[in-house]
Amino acid sequence: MTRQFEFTNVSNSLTSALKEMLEFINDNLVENVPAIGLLFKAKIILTELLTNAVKHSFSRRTLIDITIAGNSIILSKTDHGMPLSLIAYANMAGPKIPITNDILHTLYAIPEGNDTIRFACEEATMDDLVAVERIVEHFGLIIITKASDKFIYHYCESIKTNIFTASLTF
Amino acid sequence: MIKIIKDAPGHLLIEIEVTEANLDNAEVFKSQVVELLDRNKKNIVIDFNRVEYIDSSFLGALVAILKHAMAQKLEVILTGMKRDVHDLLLLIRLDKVFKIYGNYDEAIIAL
Repeated sequence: MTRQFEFTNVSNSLTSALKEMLEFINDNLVENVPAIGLLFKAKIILTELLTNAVKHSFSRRTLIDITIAGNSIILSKTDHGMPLSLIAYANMAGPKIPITNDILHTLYAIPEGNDTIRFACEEATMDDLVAVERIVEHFGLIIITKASDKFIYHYCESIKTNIFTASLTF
Repeated sequence: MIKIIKDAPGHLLIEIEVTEANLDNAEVFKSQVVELLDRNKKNIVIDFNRVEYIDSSFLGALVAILKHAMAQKLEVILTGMKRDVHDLLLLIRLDKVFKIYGNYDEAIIAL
């Protein structure tokens, strides 16, 4: 089951768009899955994808595709605009690249090839509590990465399209 | 955006008056709380009981407020969070740097 939602990239339509998307997920989850936990994760992922669209998109609309199939929910955001600078690493064979680092987390971009990167997050050891002033103030990517089972970014050069895909499995 | 509920010796209790703590109000929230810290030089207890949903922009504002308070040797304490809001803070480990209590009565014992 897949449904596409069009979001107009304005903050005052974010809540209603989010509500509609969560209702679609709730209505299409099969029985005997941990719905409360999945809906919480879907809610915070979609909130951040939509918030990112409001803050950073250079286009007038963003498409959100939600697919519920088998034992997974796939949340995908598509927009047209400039790629993330991280895409420069996508096709390099090499180690994971730290994006942000503080006393709570290190967020990495892992090159996957084919103009794709995967995000990964490691929790820090918290041995330097005095360094609170170093905590990042941008949590969007960290939230999506930690809430999802897999979170990837793909840039399609030929049609200038950014695609973020977060997967939840159950 | 915020309402001062109590001006006590050593701390202020404030309440967030919106149900959606997000991109639209994060900057205003930050500037109002920072102004309270600068003007009163007191610890701040923030009551979230009205907040149904919070996003990364507002969490960023909270962290900026904490940094500002710590630079002045002041504390920021969070209370009254609904489950989803609390669970999101746990997910990104902000419970490691904020003091979080169920309600104001529990918070003032810790102050």
